[in-house]
Amino acid sequence: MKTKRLVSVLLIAVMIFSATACSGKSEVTDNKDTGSSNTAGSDAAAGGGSEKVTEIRFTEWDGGDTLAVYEEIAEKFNQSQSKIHVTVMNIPDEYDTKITTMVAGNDVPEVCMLDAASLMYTYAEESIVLNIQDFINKDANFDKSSMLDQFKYMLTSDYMAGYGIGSENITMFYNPSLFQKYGIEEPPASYKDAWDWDTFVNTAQQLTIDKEGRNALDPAFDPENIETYGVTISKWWAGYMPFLYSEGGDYLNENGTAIGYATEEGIDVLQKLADLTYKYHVALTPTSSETMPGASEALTTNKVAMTFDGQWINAALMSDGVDYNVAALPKMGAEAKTTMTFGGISIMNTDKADAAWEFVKYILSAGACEPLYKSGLWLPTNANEYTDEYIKSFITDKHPKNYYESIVVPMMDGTAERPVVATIKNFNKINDIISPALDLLWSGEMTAADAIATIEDQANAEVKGYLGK
Amino acid sequence: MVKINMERILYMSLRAKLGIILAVFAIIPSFVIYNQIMKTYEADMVKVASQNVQSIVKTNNNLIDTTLNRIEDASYLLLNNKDCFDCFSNMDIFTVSDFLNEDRVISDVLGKQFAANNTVYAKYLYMSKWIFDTNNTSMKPTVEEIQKFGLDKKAAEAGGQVLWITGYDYGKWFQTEYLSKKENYKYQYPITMVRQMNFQYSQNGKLYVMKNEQERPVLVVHVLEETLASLYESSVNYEGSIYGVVNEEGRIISSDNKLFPITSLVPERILNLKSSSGYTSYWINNIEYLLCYDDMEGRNWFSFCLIPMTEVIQTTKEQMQNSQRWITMVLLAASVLIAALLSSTISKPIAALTKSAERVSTGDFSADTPVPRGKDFKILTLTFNHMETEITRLIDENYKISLREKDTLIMALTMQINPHFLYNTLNTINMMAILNDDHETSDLIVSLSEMLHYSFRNTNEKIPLSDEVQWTINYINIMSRRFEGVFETKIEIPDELMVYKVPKFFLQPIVENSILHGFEGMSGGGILRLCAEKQGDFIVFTVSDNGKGMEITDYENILQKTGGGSIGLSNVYRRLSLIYGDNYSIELKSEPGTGTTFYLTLPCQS
Repeated sequence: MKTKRLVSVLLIAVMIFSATACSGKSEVTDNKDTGSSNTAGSDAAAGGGSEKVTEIRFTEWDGGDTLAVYEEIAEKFNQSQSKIHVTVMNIPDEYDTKITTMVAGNDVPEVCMLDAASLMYTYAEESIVLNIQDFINKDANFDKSSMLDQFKYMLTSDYMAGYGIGSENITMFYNPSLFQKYGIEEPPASYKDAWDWDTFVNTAQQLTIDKEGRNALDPAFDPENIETYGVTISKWWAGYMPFLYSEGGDYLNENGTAIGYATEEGIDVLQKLADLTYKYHVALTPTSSETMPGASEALTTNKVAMTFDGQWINAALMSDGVDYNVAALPKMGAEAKTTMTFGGISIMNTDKADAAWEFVKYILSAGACEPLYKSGLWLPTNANEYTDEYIKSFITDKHPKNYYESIVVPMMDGTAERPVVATIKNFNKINDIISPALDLLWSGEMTAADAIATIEDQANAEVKGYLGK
Repeated sequence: MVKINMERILYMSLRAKLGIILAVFAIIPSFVIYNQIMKTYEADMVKVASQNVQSIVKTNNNLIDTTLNRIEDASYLLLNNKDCFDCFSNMDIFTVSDFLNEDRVISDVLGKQFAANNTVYAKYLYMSKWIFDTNNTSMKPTVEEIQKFGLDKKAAEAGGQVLWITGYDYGKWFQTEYLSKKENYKYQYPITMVRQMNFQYSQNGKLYVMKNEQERPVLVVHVLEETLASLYESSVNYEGSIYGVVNEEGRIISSDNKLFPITSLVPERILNLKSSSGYTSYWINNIEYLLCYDDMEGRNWFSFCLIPMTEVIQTTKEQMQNSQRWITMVLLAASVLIAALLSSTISKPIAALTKSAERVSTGDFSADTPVPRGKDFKILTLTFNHMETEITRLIDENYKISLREKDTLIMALTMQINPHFLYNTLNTINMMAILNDDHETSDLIVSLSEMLHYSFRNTNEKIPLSDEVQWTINYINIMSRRFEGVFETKIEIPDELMVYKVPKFFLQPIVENSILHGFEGMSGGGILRLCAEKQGDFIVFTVSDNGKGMEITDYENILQKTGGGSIGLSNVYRRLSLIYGDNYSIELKSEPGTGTTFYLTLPCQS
């Protein structure tokens, strides 16, 4: 009797248990759909629970690999300590507009990549961008020697509005197979051995081929039907400045009172560049540019033999495994030169500026951005990263053969000049005046001298001299 | 094999058997219940999941629709842009530098127009002479490429309406050799919006419209497939789920799997579900999927999600199985425990009984097995104890009976000592007495020989009363010669009693006792009475004398039936005991000087 009762009680218990177990289950499934959104929220909540965490934002415009690396850095930084949590905010389009809007709406991001020409110095003058020097002075742990002067964005001699991150040089890319095909010597890797302008033009002429297979030196050459162009140039300040430096000029005259383009050297440089198109027919006209694909595609599909462009093209070419090489830019004057370009990282004027400095320090620390050095996109801006050993460690098999000679060395021997945006006051305004005039030059409607003459006075009126002095 | 197993089971301990039985009885129902519940719930779960996923698909569709609508809206607003109007209505008189200059203006306008649209990858305004704002992305189309693709014609056909071109391979359709060869680039499968822009605006009551002969620019906006995919990605939380968006032609324009590659046509069966919303089951490669689908009404697009049917119920099933496993484990543990407890309530009394049985086997019938509380074993143990007591009693009885049997046997043997020899000898003596003319002696010898003859002729235990009476009379005859004149004999036995069976020789020893002891020392006047009467089922024999009687000690001597009194009497007692057990009685009344009376009561037996 007793046993029977026991068994029946057990069976009932089993039934009840399974019944409740089942009903519990369906709830679980229901929750699942909303689960993913909840976890994100709870993570953040959990982070804030134990200790007060300072949330900061880092805004930047780069997408793709660069964004991925930024996010990786942020993640590592967040893990390295528990007091500050940084979020990467990617703004691919209309960056300046959006930052301006955020600042105007008093929703200032704590750390920003800023374009020196447009916002950095303007904001620094308004104290919206803080002086990094102040943080360096406060921070005894910071290794001052890791900072190189060339990467500092100095508003005045003691106001550091930003620091360069991810330096990228202007360099020459070329398609070795075309040089081999026409039996032409490949351009020199080192700036010491750089071609002079005539050699370069001559080479470009030999490499510019029309439909009939004639090159630009051929009297019967048909400039209306060019199949392969000898060269494409970059039509912005970074595309002209290397040659102006080469001729001993600068963006402004020595006193900082007039634009450099209006000088004899400036006009010569611009004219020589325009002549590539209209005199020698080795470069694209603006109209023919509309039929030309992007730089890396043009290079790999034998549409151009040489390209003057920023080293950022490396990333695409390297990942595509294209057979290409880099070389020193030719010189118009005594010395071959190039220019650096880099974005600046700035600390914005917020309550969380100290936390922002911690992140800036982290991102500027040696090795933080290594993946981008390895992808060929960036060069280091930390002094401690400029050791032969370290440089060799980030140059991979995929880097073009002359990468070290043509891209890294100029950074170390002074061949690469600082970007003009970092050093010229009121740069954007001056540039906006010059650009339409240059349109007249690039369209072949005017000579350099005439084009510059149309805006010289207007541009000079906006010249405010050099920064950081 | 089966046999061996069966044997093994049979030889298992009670606890093991009980445990197995309990476990089987506990687990089988739990499995049955589990399966039943799973069956009922499965249908339910599939339904709930289907509705869930379908609503997710619907939400995603809305999201996609809204995202694309925002781009359409931006393009719509652009139509009234004055800068664009100025640029494109004066295009005919543009110099190259004007193009360069306007490119910057238009880039700025487009940038601002689409600033809020994070989903836009590339946008540009195409004209046969110039493409505005192409420098912002790595996607740099050329005039030739666009014409080869026929983007301009398609836009013209749509006549100023928005047209989405989807489900195509960028490299192949734009016929660029470079991209056709390239594997995996970001904008391989773009979602492309084109719109012929008929710019116009009104100001101060005047409407400015583009001249008819003016070429209308085409706005091209590319959205990356990955951007579209991010709108639905990981919205469905099932392992192995597949998501796809299909355009009006039935071509996949976005997909998160290799089963439905982008640009391929979806299978007929799925395509047939277009312009409806719901869920159904769908088989691919013999795997059953739950297919949830929903159409995007305005666009004539269609999204679907496939989830392996096993996954739909997998998590729930796993959890169910988990708890099922727990229940089983608990039940198993409970069975073991209960088996141990139950078997101890059974095996303990059995062990006690086994011990008792061992004790009994050694001949100890002390009947002291402790009685347990449980009802069944209480009875068993009590019965066992009772059995022991009974056995003790039976053994006792059997023992005594067997002893008496031995006695009787010996006695019988002793009595049978060659009676024929005696008989013949007596005949010889009788012949001699007749020769000597001693008739008296001869008569005695005849009586004696008759008695002898009777005694060994009839070997039956019981004989008719008449025979016994005859035998007694013979004896009395002999004894009355010996004690001539000492006593008289009176016999009062009704004839109807003569037929009843009585034990042999039961009267003679009593009579002998009266003659030898009662009349001892008397010289005459003795009366010996022998009576019998029927009282119910019994016959009462009375043997009385008027002799000297007995003292109480003698009395006791005689009444001690086994005692050392007269051999004859004790023999009678014992034989009667053996024959009738307790079913007879013998009484004795005696007083010195007045005589002795025996009352012997025997059951009537015919």
